[in-house]
Amino acid sequence: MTSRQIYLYLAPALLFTVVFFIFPLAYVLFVSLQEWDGLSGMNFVGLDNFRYLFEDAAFKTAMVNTMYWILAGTLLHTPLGLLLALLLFSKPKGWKWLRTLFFLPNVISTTALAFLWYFVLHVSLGLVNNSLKGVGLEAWARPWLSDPSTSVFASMIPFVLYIGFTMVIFLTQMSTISPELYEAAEIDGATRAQMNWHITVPLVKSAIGINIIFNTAFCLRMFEYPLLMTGGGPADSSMNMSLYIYREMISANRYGISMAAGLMTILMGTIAMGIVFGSLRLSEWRRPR
Amino acid sequence: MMKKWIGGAVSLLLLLCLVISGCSSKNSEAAGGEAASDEKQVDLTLLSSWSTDTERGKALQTVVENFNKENENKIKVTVDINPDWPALQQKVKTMIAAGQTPDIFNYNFNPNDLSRQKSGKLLNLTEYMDDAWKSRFTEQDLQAMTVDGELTSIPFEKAGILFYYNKDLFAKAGIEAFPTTWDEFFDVCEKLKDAGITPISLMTADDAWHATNAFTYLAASLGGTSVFDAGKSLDTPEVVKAAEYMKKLFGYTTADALGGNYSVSSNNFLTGSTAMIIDGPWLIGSISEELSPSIAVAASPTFGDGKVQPGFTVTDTYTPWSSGKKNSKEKEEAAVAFLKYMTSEESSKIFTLEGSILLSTKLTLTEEETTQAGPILGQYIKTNSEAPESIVNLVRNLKPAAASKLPSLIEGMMFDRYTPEQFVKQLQEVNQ
Repeated sequence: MTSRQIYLYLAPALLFTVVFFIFPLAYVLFVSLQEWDGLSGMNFVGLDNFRYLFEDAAFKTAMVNTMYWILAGTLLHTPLGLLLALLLFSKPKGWKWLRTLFFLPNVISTTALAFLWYFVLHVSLGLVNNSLKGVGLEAWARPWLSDPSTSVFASMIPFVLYIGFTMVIFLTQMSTISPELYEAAEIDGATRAQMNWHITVPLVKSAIGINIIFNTAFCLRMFEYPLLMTGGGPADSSMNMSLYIYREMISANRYGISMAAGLMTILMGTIAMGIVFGSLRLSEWRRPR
Repeated sequence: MMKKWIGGAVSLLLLLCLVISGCSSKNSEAAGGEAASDEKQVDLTLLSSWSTDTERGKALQTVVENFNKENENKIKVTVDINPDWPALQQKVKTMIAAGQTPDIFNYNFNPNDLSRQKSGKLLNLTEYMDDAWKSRFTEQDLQAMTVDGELTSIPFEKAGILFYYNKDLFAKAGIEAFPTTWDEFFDVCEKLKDAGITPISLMTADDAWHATNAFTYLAASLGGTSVFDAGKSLDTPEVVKAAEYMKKLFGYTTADALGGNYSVSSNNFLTGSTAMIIDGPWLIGSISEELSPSIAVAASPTFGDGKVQPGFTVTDTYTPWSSGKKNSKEKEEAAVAFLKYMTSEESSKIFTLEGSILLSTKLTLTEEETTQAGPILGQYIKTNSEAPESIVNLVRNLKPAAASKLPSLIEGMMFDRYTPEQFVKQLQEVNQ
């Protein structure tokens, strides 16, 4: 293949990257240096918008909460998905039904799920508080979504629990493992737990990596659950980056600040992805050859 | 080989001719069709958040249908509904920015955010404002809508916000009449609470509407109806005191008020879970027939010190209608014709009596018509029309950045993160 052909084949992809990624990114950078309400003329303010962000308590909360979301995706959602996949991979009775059942929430709109959980966690009508009252644990009942100490974690619950998609990725990877490995382990007297730990988990490491990448990206742009369940409140306690960008643009009409926050999210995402890829490469490197 | 090439080239040419002729015939058909329809009628799209399952939505539909009937084959107005008001407002702003200003739309007028009017993309209605049309409005309202000498919006809705209360729940707590002073008001709250009834519906999400109604009433009662006048600092002892009272008021609301939105708060009142709510006339349409006999409306209490006149009201901001500048004079005239029809005596009657919308346009109702409107709306119109003075809800006068920050500041004060003084100071800072 000549170099001209290579450039010719790469041209469409390059064109799309420039038009749909590089150009918008450059425009976001340009707007982040302006004061702009979306209608009137722009006013160049240099790095003032970034300075504002670092002095704004709501932005700091949004950054910390986004990190909580990523941690929940990595340390709770992904391990739960793996656990469920391991359970279903042992093919218990009705496992196909269970697989469909666990995947079902992934085809339901996030809006519907957010409202469902809004009512489950509602302070007076909610299933959680009424159940606690029912078993005599009234002291534990609280306004989960409107208490600053619980709101961010309460709004994460549906994401942490709906592990169907993560589970399917693990199951797909597990189905590629040769059955002979398990037969050999069985002959050697290995228990199911030992087989999972020593055979299945090491062989689905790449799926763990994929799931962590997917979930990190999902958490970085998480929007519906905090918007619909808490609106970022109370007192900005459940604010995350996406919601902050939205509020600054749609409600406050401060496009410059919104775009600056968008750039910070991209930076945060780059760092988070760098850590994930670095950790995965490190685990590859440390693997005994 | 040569024959093959020629054959191929001819086929390609034929195919090209077919495609071009197909396209051009389609284009000419379309152009012809458009031209024909241009001759026949002008199509206008009206953006609205009033869904047809609401009283106001039904009233708008009736007015539009009547107009379309009167202008059959000349002008046709189609209503495009988006019930999410903040989303619709943003859509309109985006359309203006993109140079595709909607044919007809309404919005919340804010003297601190004149970006729409100053965009230069709204139709200047001054030249169309003949004496007959002018007589439909007060000079004060027309002046308020005039920005840089251009009248780009038509005054329409300016609803008074009143206190709704549940007479049955009041009676259950041994309260005979709606309080006239704020001291009495808080005594009433205490009595209701003692009787196991949640006194008032409040909310903090979105624009914290019910809470800011209470806050504006309190601030005006303490500092007069000029307390939030443009150019005045919010950081005054009266506003701080009002914040203290608002904090006290949150002690008499539901557990879901913090973080609750408009529907949560209004549903608490509409299901009889709370005894009071401070809201506009649009709530009337949501009151069930069963609950209706128990509901009454009243004007605000005062501190009885003469700072405000008894019976004063907090109002929503103007919600005027505008039209985008058009390339065709015909379309501009059609939009103006609809705006004139919409603000006529006949349409105003439909909007008020069927849609429970209190308008800026002049309207004379007979006693019979007011009675026919139903006991709540009738009482509402009377209380609203008797108001000796009024003030616009604070949230409608704040700059967008301050308005978006207000809910979290209220919540922060409720969680003792800020004192009332700090709350007011921060609000003033972000509003500068």
